Formats: sequence, structure tokens, C-alpha cells
Amino acid sequence: MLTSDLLVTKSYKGKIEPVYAKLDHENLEISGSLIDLFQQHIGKTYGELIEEIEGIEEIDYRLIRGLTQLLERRCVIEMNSVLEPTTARRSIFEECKGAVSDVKERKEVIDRVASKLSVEPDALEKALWADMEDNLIIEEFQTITPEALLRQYNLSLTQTLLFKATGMDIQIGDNYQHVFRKIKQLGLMYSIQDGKIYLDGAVSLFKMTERYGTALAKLLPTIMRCSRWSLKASVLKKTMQGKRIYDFTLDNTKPIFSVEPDSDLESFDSAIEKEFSLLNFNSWSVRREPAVLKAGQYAFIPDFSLERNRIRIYVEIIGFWTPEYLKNKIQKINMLKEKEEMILLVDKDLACSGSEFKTDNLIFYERKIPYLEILKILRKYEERQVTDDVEMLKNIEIALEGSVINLGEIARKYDVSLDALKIVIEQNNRNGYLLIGDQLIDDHTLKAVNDELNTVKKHSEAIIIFDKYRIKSQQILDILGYKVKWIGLDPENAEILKA
Amino acid sequence: MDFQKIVIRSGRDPNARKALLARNKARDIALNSVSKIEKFREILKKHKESRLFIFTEHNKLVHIISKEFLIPAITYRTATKERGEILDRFRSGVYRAVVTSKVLDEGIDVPEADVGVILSGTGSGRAFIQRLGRILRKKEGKEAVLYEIVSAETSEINTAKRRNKALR
Repeated sequence: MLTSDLLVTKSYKGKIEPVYAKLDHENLEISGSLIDLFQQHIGKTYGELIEEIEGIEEIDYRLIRGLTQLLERRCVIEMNSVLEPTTARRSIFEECKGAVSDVKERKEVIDRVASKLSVEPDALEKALWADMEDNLIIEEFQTITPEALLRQYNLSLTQTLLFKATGMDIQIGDNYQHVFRKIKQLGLMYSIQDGKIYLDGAVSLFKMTERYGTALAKLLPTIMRCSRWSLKASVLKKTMQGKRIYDFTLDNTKPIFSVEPDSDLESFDSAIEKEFSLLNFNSWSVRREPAVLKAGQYAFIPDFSLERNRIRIYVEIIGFWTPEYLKNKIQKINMLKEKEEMILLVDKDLACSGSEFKTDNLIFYERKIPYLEILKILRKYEERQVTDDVEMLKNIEIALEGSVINLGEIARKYDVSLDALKIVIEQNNRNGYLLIGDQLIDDHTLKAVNDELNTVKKHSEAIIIFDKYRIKSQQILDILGYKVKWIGLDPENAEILKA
Repeated sequence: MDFQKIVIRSGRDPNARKALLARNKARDIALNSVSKIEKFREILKKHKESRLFIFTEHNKLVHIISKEFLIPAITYRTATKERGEILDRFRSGVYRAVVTSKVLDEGIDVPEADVGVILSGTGSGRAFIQRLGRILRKKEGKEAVLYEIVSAETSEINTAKRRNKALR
């Protein structure tokens, strides 16, 4: 994006377009020479660089200034000074009372202050104005090819034009998830009709259209990453006759742009979302922006999902926003098929009452993620699932084979939760099996284990026996009437005793 | 430099460019002339006990003067904190001089001074009168002096004439 003074447009018959830089020989040479200039000025001052550029910019002022803005962003420009410049100046001005009138006097002042501050007079002179923009040093420059720079320039021109956009509709052939995620991140409101995404409504959301235009400009690279795309924007332009709206259209057939790979896929809308992503909800796994849900004519991408067994609960974090935004959001959520599986975290500062939401899972938060309350809701889902599973299991015959049965495997086989399976097993006749931990062990094995335990004394030897029979829970000791006696802290010394 | 090549290839009229460059150069010389700096040095020496307020609308010249004479400078880039400190210290007498660009044109209370110096100012009468008024603010029994340093044989003479007209 460029400053708007560097945007040149041509408009005719209600249409507007930036004056793009052609990728021709002359422009490539200008672009290449500028890149060289930057390259040559690594380690030199910003002032020297700008002076060189000013010397040539009349060839094509806006192009050269525009390319320069883009190249400056590829630089690390820093102050290089042994002293804090304001301190250096203050010390000097105090020493000379604000003026010297000849060279000798000047040198004496510099020398006196330098020795007072224990620096070299040269270093002090340098420090005096080291913070002036002209004296900053170009420490690093990340180079680019002349063609890529021109392409980036054309993209930036387009973005700069979109600053003044009051609305835009786009059509994309793929890359939906990324585009919607970006739309969401940018806080844009939209509707979908006949395959077109209408980005609008912002003018009524907040008064500043610039902010909306900036969001549209930021969305542009994501749109351009689709293999097929087209857009149409309404752009506000001041003319001699006053403000006028022009149409701006663009699609993927114009090959004069370049889009860098998306680097901010991992970025979060807010600190609270970042915080959420780092939390651990017991056996529930957290996924970010897990799906595109359909809410009437809208797409809805919840911030997170929490998943466990077959349950997926969506979490939407509503940070600070305008009442209109919130109203819109609520309408959207109420249209969701999945609204029952939605946990809403709403910033307490929002002027909104819970009654507007058709969901129980609404938590108002203040600064911090309400972790315990979320766990409470999740437990409710866990319990509900267990009840459902139990109901289902009651109606089927559970096939149990083998001497030691891992219930986890059985639960997976019937696609139910382990808890539910255990409840059903405990309620039913166990046909010669005993439930120990998450395993069923038949009487025969139990007896064999008991016999072998009689022959050993050490706890470690007992464990070898359990391993042999693939018994996982040491609860079996308890059940067979043994106690572990610890001798010191070394488990090797622990013994088992018949209680 | 490759740019010479580009300039030629750019299809511009080379004569027009030459003329433009010559004009720019002349203006730069006029603005930054050594004689102007030396003239200023004389004024500074003459008013060793006075409080001087120096104006120039050219930031480059502000910095040249600040550097050469170690005079506290205020430009549009000076941070508010440092600007305030410099003006306070000028007011209280810690500093006896301040050099500044047009940043003080509007809305800032300029401390009293008994010598004003203008180096290559604007041709606009109103801005000039405002500046003048600020530093010539009457101090009991004291008379303020205003110098204007212009380069001879440059366009600045005309600028200065235009300015004086506005005063009458």
C-alpha cells in the first residue's frame, strides 16, 4: 500500500483504474536502478540515499517515489550512535549557552563536553544529529527483482485505490476457506448471493469509510491467491463537481501483479483468541477455525472447535465490537444448524443481554478466558453423550471374547464413550468377568494371577506377572487382597503383602 | 551513474531538464550560501549579550546553523518534549539563541527576544508580520532589532522587497 498522494488514476465513463506500471523495458530499468541504489547504500545514511533518488525522480516522480516506498519497507533503517542524541545536544547547548560564534570556540565546547561524557569528540559530533532522518543508517536491505518490484507496485496501487472503496463484490473459484477466514479476521460483513460475495454494510457499521477501505485493501492479496477471481468495487473520488462513485473492476486475467505467500495465517484477531488456543481442555482437543458453517446466505467460521470422541463443540469469542456488529453476529448464529453446539464467550463490556442469544452456552468474560465455566459446559456434553451411549448400548448385545479384554477397543468398535460402556457393563451380568480399571478379566486368569503372586514377594516381580497377562491396572492387587509395602523410596525394594 | 542513461532514454527534452537543474542549483546556492552564514556570524558576534531568535523556513538551513553555531534547533520534526525544553530554556535564559523553521508560524507562544534574524524567509507578507510581531514584542526600555539576510543577485531580493511592502 502506498500513500494516496502517489496514486494516479484514470477515469472515464464512470469507471476508474490506477495507472499501472507496464512491465516494459524502461520501467524495468528504472526499477532495477532503484534496487541497485538501495543495495549500494547499505551502511550509508538514509539522507544520502534520498538525495540520490531526488536527483532522478523527475523521470517519473510518482513511480519512483512509489517504488521507493516499497523498497524502504525492505530496509532496516536504524540510528547509529554511541550517545542518546537528545542528551548529547542538551549537554552541548548547556555548555555553550545556546550559541558559539567562531570555529575555535565551537571546537572547545565540543572537546569539553566530549571529555565530560567520556567519548571521542568525533563520536559526540556524530551523535548530536544521529536521530535526524537523514542521518539514520540503512543497516539491511532485502533485495528483490526489478520485475517483482513492479508487480508489487501495481498491487499496491490497487490497494491504495481500494482505500476509498465504499463496497466491493467478489467472485472466487477456489480458496474459499482462506478468503472467508480473512474476511472474518478483517471484521468485514458480507452476504452471498448467486455465487457472489458482497462485502458491504460497513458504512452503516462505522462512520469511517477509510477503515473499511483499508480492510478491503488488505483482503485483496488473499483474493488474488485464488486461481480464478474477479472483483468489482465502488470507489469514491473527489472531482471538480464534488464526490463521485466510480466502478473499478479487476480479474485474474491481468498478469501484472504479484502476491507474496500469505504469512499471517497464524495471526489471531485478539489476545484472548491467542490465549484460548494455548489452553488445554482435558481430553478435548482444540482446533482453530475448524469449519465453514452455513448460516442462511452467510458463511460462518467459528473461532475454535473443541473435539472429543464424536462430539464437536464450536467456540466463538466475541470481543469488543459495535452493537450493530453484535446484532448481526447474533442473527447469524441463530441461523446456524449447529447453534446448540456453540459456546459463546462474550466480552462483559459489551452492551448486550444474554436473552438475545438462543443458546444456553453463553459466558460473559472479563479479560480472562473463563476456563472453569467452559469445562463445566463440556462436562455437560460429556454426560449427555454417556447417557445417549448407554441408551444405545442397552439395545445391543456386546460381544466379549478373550481372557483379558480392553474396553477402550470395544468402545471404539461400537463408537461409544468408554464411560458409557463401563456403566453398561457394570449394570449387566458380567458372565465370569471382573472389571478392573479399563479391562475385563475373566475368573480363570484372575485365579492364575493369584496363584503366581503367592510365589513372589517383591512388587517389581508382581508387575512382571501383570505384564505377562497384559493387565494394565494395579488395582488388581487391591482386588486380590494385597497391599504394597514401601521400603524407602526405591520402588525396587517395595514388597507385596497379603492384607 | 545509470540514471544518466535513463534520463536520456526517458524521452524528455534534455534542454528542459538542464534548465530545471540549473534553476534548482541556483536556488540551493542562494539558500545555503556561505556568505549568508558568514553574515550571520557577524551578527552573532555583535550581539554577544543578546537573546536571538533565528528564523528560516528551510530545514536544511536550520540544521546547518544549528551545527555550525551549536544553536538549539526546532523544526517540524523536533519532538514535542525537546521543543518544549528548548523554548523553556530560552525563556529562562539558559540558552541565548534558538533557530527554527516555520513550525512556529501559528499558535505557539514564542518567547521574547531582542534580536531577530530572518534567513531566506517566505515572500508571504502575513507570515512575516506575525513573526516580526512575536519577537518585537515590546520590552520596557528596550528596543528590538530585526535582521534579514538575503543573497545579492538572486531571486531573494525580490522576495524581500515584496515582504517589506506588506509591512507598510
